[in-house]
Amino acid sequence: MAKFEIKDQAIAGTLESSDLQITIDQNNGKGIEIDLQSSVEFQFGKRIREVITETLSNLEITDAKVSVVDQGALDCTIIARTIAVVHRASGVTENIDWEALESWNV
Amino acid sequence: MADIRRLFVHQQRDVYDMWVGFLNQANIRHEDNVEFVYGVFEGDQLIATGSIYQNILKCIAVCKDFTGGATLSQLISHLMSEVMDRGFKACYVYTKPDTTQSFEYLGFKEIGRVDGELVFLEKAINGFDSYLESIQQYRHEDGVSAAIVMNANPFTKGHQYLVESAAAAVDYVFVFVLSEDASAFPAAVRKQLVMAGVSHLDNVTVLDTGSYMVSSQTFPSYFLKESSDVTRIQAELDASIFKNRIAKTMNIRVRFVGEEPFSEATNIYNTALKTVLEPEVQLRIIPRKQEGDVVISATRVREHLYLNDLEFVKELVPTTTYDYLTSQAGQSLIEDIRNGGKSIGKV
Repeated sequence: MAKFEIKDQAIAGTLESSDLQITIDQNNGKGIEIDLQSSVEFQFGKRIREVITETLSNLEITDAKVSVVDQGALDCTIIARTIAVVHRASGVTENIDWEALESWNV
Repeated sequence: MADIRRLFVHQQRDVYDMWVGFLNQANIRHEDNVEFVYGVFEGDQLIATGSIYQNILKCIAVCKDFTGGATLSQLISHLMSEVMDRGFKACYVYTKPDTTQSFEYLGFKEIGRVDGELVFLEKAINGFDSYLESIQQYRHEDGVSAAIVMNANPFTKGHQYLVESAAAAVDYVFVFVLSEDASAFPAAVRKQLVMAGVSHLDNVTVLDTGSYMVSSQTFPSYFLKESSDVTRIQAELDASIFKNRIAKTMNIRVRFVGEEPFSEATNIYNTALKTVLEPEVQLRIIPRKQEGDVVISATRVREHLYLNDLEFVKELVPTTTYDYLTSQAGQSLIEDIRNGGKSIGKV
């Protein structure tokens, strides 16, 4: 899989119910930092962070500052929005490597 | 699901009337200082509206039958995407204290407030905290630190005199140059000229304001009560953000301002500044410098640049600024300004 590199701030998703809005930016050498705000934080906050961290790791992103506003999104939505925002931040918006994504996202 | 459409309020009279009427029903006055206006429609019925000016959300209203969250979420999502698509990295909103929670629920964070009047919120990944972190490295623990905030459009002998006076009076001076690009001279050039003009003072540090000095350009008037004094509230908000966050982070105990003998707005501003800042931060007003019998001001410099009267300008600006104005880069910028460059006439 082509290596993703966070070049610029990007945003994906919406603030509507059952969705989440995720913003990502560089975090030079400071690892993955997630600022989460969720309507279901108490029940699912830990799981939401896990899904985002796993997805970023699958995309081989090691440094990123992430801000998330969740409105009760399902795991599949969280994964999809995270994949989208990494593609946008890396400037990859054409010729998406679906095969590579499917190798881990099944 | 309701759909969102752009409202061409400045092109279509009937759309404009509908928009103004809708806002009035929500007790909000419309503001002409908006770039894009959007409406949320349920069928043909307008149920919410919101506008954008640069990266600021303005004139937001939702029909009371649809205030449950879904409509506002849809509208704000849309406005934010529009702002980010235009390359901004942050998004701001001014709102009434009683609607602050709705915005916080959507990921906005409070920067400052004027009790009972308004709250200023930000949505950004690298927001106010990151800004404070970035300037904190220049903080001095010892001695007295002071601050000056200036637009420096462009840097004149008057600005230089103000900085020199402050630098002589206290141990350290931070000069904050407005980062907003709404002036004849771009922010990068303004900062560069300030840095050149104070380089002989070794206790002066030049910093950016980020988006955290409230400017009258972006400050909204539309939901303040008719009787409220817009300038005063703007100044109070600006002063409280400065005092509570910036001055604390930077150990600033004095703020210097230039005297503005002819500007009523500046007088109101300085009075409000004094009320909010003191006693924690002392306000000191420095009388304006005169060159012969001419009061130096950046406005006067720009007037004479329009007239191509560089000889006169030479008397009002330090050699560092004059050297820039006569350089190739400076000449082409003056040419732009004279030809109605993108931000001509704005102060």
